[in-house]
Amino acid sequence: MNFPRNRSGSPLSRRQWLQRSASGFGTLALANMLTNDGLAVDEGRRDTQKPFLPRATHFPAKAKHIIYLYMDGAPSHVDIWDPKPRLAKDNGKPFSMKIEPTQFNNIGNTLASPWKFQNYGESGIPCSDLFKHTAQHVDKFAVIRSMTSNFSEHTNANYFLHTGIGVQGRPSMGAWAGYGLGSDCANLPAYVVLNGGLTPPGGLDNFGSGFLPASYQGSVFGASKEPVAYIQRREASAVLQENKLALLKKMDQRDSERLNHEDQIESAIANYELAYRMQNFVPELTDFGSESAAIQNLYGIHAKTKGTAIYARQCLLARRLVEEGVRFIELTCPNVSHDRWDQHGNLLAGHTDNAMAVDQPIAALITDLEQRGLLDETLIIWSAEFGRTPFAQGTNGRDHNPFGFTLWMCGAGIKGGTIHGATDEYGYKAVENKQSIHDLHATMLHLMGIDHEQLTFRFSGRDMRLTDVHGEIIHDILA
Amino acid sequence: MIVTSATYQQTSIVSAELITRDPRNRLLARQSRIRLEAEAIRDSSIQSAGVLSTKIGGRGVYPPQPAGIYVLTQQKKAWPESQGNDRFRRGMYIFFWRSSPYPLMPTFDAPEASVTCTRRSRSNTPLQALTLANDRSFFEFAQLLAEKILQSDATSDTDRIRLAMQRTLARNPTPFEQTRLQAFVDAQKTWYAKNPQHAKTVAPDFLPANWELSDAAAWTALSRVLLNLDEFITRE
Repeated sequence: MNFPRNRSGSPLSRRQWLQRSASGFGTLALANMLTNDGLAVDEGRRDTQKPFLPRATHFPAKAKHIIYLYMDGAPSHVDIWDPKPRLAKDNGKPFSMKIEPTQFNNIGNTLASPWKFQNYGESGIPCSDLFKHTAQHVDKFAVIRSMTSNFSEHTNANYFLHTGIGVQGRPSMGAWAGYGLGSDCANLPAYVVLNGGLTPPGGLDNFGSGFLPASYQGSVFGASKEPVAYIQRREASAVLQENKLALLKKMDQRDSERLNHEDQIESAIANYELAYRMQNFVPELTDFGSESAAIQNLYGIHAKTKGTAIYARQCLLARRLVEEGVRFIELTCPNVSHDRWDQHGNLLAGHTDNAMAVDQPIAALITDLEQRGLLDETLIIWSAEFGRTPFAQGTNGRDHNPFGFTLWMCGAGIKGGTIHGATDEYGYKAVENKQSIHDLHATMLHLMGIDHEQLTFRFSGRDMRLTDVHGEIIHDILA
Repeated sequence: MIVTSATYQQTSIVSAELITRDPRNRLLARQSRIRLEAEAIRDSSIQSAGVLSTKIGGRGVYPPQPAGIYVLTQQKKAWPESQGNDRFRRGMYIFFWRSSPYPLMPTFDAPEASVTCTRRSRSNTPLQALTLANDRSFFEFAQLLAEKILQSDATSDTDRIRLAMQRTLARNPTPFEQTRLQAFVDAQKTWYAKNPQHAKTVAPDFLPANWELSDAAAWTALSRVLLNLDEFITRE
């Protein structure tokens, strides 16, 4: 039940109470209960001074953390997770289904996958040779082959994927997670983006807080020497900085005492302390000296292929962030000298290099989380903004395809070895258990213990949700 | 009308009892403390340093921003860094790329340019603290404020501290503050005297004659403290 906002500060106005008391005292008791657990209080007035205070979930959570492996540019599902023998049979012939307009409308013939497929694990889930390492884990995966998007162009599709709506400026799913749950991490914000070099079309808005308070925006860790903006102190020595901060704190505290410990100043003091901890903590976090050679090699930190080495660092850092209690971690792809996964031409070389960069590190991340007992509380999602066409663009590429594509999830609360949904015999359109991006978001929030219909923020005259007015939990893939 | 009313002109100093009775100040028995908006925080710093450009209108300006901002966008955007007075225009004149706004803006809750904004939220985050502490622009404002202090006709440190407080917080220091700030300045002078190579990068660019670099650097350090105070970025 959602309670309308009103000026009195209590969840129900007198008039509303009178209107609703027809349904008995139960309503009133419920209002009181909901207010006490902190979830149904006026969301628009959630304590902006302590944004990351851990908050009660609607029901027990399976996932405490999400690692979102964003495959920028859209890998081809029929070349990785959704094998279609029919494509080999019809290879080179005109495509026999009706073709919707595509991004470039440079329609070629049916194009067989250049890769071999094998069945893996006890579940026998097939995967192409592009993801030989990752495929070792399929018994832990729920592979959804019937994903759809509403947009066939990167920017809008990315906004849709990240924020639940295909326009710029709405809160990212990571921001919603931080807003809904707070964070257990004392040294870092709740939503961290590990940038591998490529930023999704649509830019920083994919990681923004939109109309939610700025505290919830994604903090982007770059791959550079200064991973976080402004993290390096301006003072020439640590002593100088400590002197400055000590004085600052003293003066702020006097101000706070004068104002009877006003909440906002107390938060400002706390923020300088957190900022200072981040300054000391981030370099430590990104220094892998304490990781054994075996672990470093498992991820591929020292791989000769640059893309692999970069993504290995991101994956290892993701594990370390999970250990620190960070709520939502998104990884963007490294640049492997093709245009992302966006192979409108030269599919063979482009997909080979892109897969080479991420396959081993992803497999290592799953292995490592599992051996540390963290996979049970971490949800990993591998997904792009859409898929690619089973017919060629030109002769050797594939165009954008929002009508059917594959993603997989693994870890907390996921029923392993599951294939959910299906595309038609060409892999063009989802035909069975068709799922939307809203369904993905509803399921993610569900696994984090949040009812996606209850997590709202008052904006622009109504209670906004990550899933807007949509979203069905995909129960088939839940353990 | 509103700002001239007695209600608006109340102090924000509040008793513990009043906080308990009316935590959100719905009854308006006091003034609310409000953190300044992103643009105003920057404007206030520039005003304190005495270099605010009051020019009205014209093309957007491009104050310095950290390198690497456009690593995060699909297309690289031009950012021809402004020189001279254009660096000190009001925040509302800063050129706004929707996909990569000037970083101060989103950090301090400036709204998205692509959706309607009925009310700005006011968050309080460690990234704000890092920005105020380490951003190149704010460092530059502190240097300029120090320059202003050194150029003044104040003849003692006591007077200089008073001037610095007046320029930043529009009030005189309490005896406690006076003592602490003086001790801080003295300690900084000593440190920079021992480490002259660092004094050069911290001291204002245009030193009035007869000032030692190390002493000048100490006043930049003091200016930074004052510009980073919660009281400074808050309308009391």
